[in-house]
Amino acid sequence: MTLWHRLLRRRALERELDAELRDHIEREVADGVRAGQSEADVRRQMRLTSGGLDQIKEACRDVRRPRALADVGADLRFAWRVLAKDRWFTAGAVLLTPAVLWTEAPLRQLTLGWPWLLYLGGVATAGAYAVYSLGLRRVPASVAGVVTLVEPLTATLLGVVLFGERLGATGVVGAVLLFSALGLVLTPHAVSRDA
Amino acid sequence: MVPERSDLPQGTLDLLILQVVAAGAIHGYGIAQRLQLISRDVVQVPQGSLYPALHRLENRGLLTADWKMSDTGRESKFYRLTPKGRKQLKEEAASWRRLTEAIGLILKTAGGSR
Repeated sequence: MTLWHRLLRRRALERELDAELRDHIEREVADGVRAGQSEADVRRQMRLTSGGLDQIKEACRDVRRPRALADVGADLRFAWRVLAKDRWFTAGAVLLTPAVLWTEAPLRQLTLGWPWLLYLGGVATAGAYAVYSLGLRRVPASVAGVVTLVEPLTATLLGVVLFGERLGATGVVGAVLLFSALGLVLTPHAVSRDA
Repeated sequence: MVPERSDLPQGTLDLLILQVVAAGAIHGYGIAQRLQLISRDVVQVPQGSLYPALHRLENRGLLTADWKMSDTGRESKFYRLTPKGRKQLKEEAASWRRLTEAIGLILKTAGGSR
């Protein structure tokens, strides 16, 4: 599970925990009232034996915490596995690091590089996935799947518009095919048949 | 008459929950009700003990849960035993029986009882 998935999962868990505890309270109150108690009495009794809702929630969260810590460990192990698996890539990165010293103003090079690295990681990767996940809530997976196919096309179009690259005949045909597929998938008719 | 309540020995709540859930999918309040009913009001598990225990069992993979529409018109979380939970129940029940039998023997035979 990626960090982002886990954050979404945690919010879902919180919602479920709240709904579950409230469901219990409503049932106990309904039973108490049916047995002739007043609603206020039942609620007071519950608070006396179990504490407030927030206290119960905190106790439930405590139960899951060791798992969350284990997840961080799993993340670190995963990072290590990726580095170990692409060992040539890792070796290349390690061997190239001293080369920075031979460049002009190594510290300046590093400080210039970090903002771009952060941008790539934070905006272009994490931000993009965040927006993608939000979008997935609104459209069916089939539509999202086709829309992701536009990704290479947008990259190509950016190249054409910004850098004056040229799109060949097959490229144009491919783009048209992609757009027609999107049109078909996104028309209400197709969506309603889907549902 | 209000029956006298007894505190559950450490660790037995998990066993009791597993036993009740083994009978079929049931929500938290249902579990508390069953325990109270079967024990003739001796075992009354407050919400503050029940849910941490349920979530611990779920976290350990002994229980699993689904949200289903229930008689209240709201969705409720229904717990079920996993195969791992079923195995755990069998082992814990057997060990509990051995222990209570042993304690019973000691209480019966050791001198000094009135």
